[in-house]
Amino acid sequence: MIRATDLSWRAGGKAILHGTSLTVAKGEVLGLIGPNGSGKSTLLRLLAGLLKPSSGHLELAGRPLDRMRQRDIARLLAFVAQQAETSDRISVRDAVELGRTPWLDALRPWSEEDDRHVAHALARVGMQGFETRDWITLSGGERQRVHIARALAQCPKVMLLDEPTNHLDIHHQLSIMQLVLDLKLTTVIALHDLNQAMICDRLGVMHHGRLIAFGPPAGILTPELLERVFAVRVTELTDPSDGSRIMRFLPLNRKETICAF
Amino acid sequence: MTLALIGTRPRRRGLRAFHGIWIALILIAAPLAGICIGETRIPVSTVLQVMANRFWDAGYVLDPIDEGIIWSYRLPRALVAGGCGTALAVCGVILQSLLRNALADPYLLGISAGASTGAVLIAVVGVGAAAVPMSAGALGGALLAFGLVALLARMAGGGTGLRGAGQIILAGIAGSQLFNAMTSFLIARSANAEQARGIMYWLLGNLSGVRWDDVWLALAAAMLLLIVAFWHMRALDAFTFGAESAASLGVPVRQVQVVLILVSAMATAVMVSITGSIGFVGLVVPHAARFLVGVRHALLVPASALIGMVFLIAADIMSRIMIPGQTLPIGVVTALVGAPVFAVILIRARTVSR
Repeated sequence: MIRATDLSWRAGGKAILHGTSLTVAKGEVLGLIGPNGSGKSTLLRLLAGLLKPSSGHLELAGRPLDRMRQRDIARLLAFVAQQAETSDRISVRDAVELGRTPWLDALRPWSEEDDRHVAHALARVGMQGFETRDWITLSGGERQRVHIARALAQCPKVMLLDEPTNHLDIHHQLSIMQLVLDLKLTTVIALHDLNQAMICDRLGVMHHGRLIAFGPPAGILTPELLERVFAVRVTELTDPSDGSRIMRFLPLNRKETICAF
Repeated sequence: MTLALIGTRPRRRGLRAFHGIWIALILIAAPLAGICIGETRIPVSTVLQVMANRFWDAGYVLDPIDEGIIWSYRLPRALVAGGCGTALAVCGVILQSLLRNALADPYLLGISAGASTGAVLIAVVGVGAAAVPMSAGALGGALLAFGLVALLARMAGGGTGLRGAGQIILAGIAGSQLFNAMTSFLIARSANAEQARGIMYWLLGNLSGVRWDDVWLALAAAMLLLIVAFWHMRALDAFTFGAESAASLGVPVRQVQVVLILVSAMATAVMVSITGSIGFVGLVVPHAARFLVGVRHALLVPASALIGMVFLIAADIMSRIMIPGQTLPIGVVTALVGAPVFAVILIRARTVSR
């Protein structure tokens, strides 16, 4: 679905992303992890066509991205930012209706089909009944759900999400993650929580603007790699309730205050 | 809420006809009021007879002075006021939406000041005071001013965030001051006393001496702006969550910004070259319209256009009857209303951002 070859991106003479290549298969959930400033967001924005790569080549559904109109990209691919806010007094329905933008123009006005897409998108994120609520009255988790509904109203084949759970409490983090997995779309998601990253089909690890590891989570998240990238020591535990692997993180230097998550 | 949805979904035919009727009534009633009310009150029947004479050669026998006042003085004045109000209000909507800034308007961002400088340069340096070259000069000034203000805002670290919102307004104030000073400098250096007095009066926003040539220019500019704004109404909606979000919704952001700002600057320049810079319309009217019909541009653009038209015609009437025997510059009236409303917006903006 997505094929990136040797992508790099420079800003102000400084290389933010170095020759990065990856592919995302249809229906696959790819997680991007890495410390702050490692280039996750930049890579996502390149994949979304929001930034133009300084060099390299990008294909979306077999077509070169730089030859596609912004509008055609938006019909195939939806992007959910970390935190997109507005001071306008809009309703939930207004926000989700924005997702229909790439399908409408002055000659093709709003129709009942668009109404159906909006209602369906709201139902998929479990926000039906919220249509008339004001944006400012929503909680952070609800706002992120509405953003995902807006993205779904675009009827995309690919979803890109930039740390969508970053500002949420643990309950909403888990429910948004579950929601994203249940969408069954080709998905690229930047993540902070390494344990949440374990449920992705494949993971890409970003470090200093490079993709340094790429593959299934179990094979990639080795103690050596985590020590190098995140500067933490990892011990692995097994959850007795379902046998899944849990990582416990400790500072590299034991003499520092021990805090485990 | 229900109102806010009307523009975006299929509605019943009866409702549409109802809206069509009252909008048409306002479109006729507002200029009519502008013609009838003034130092000498003219009955509506006389106005209608003059129109009948002019359009259909009805042959009513009328006082030629009344006819002259109506046809050559008050009607062009009312039409220019209406067109100008429409254009400034829609410019305000466009700038506020594109810049994600509740305080953006052509006046505060220095576009009007730049247009004034350009127009005065043409008038004083002597290409002549005909409407078209003055508009061209005004357009040059308007684009230069906006370019400088945008550049300054960017260099001062402005973006679309909260801090950026402050930066562009500060840059706009600096730009306005600079261009107003340049205008004064031009006048002091090149104009004689008589010219200087006339230009200063015009700069405050003035509809005296409006001719039919000006009417066509003003209406054409307002119409073009309105059409372009309508064409881009979904793109303007898409900026709700910022420029990046608009891009991810398939809006060619750079292209839309260039087209809309160019057309806004053009409309502002035309209006400034005819009436001088009239403040606060572009700022206040969009907020009033948002309060009434919500933030979606399918309704916000026409509502702002309509309110702007009525507001400026009303302001023109006020400017003629507030002081008996004297006409105030219309900019004075709009500022008298606009400044307090501006204060209210500032206070409300604070409570929202908390």
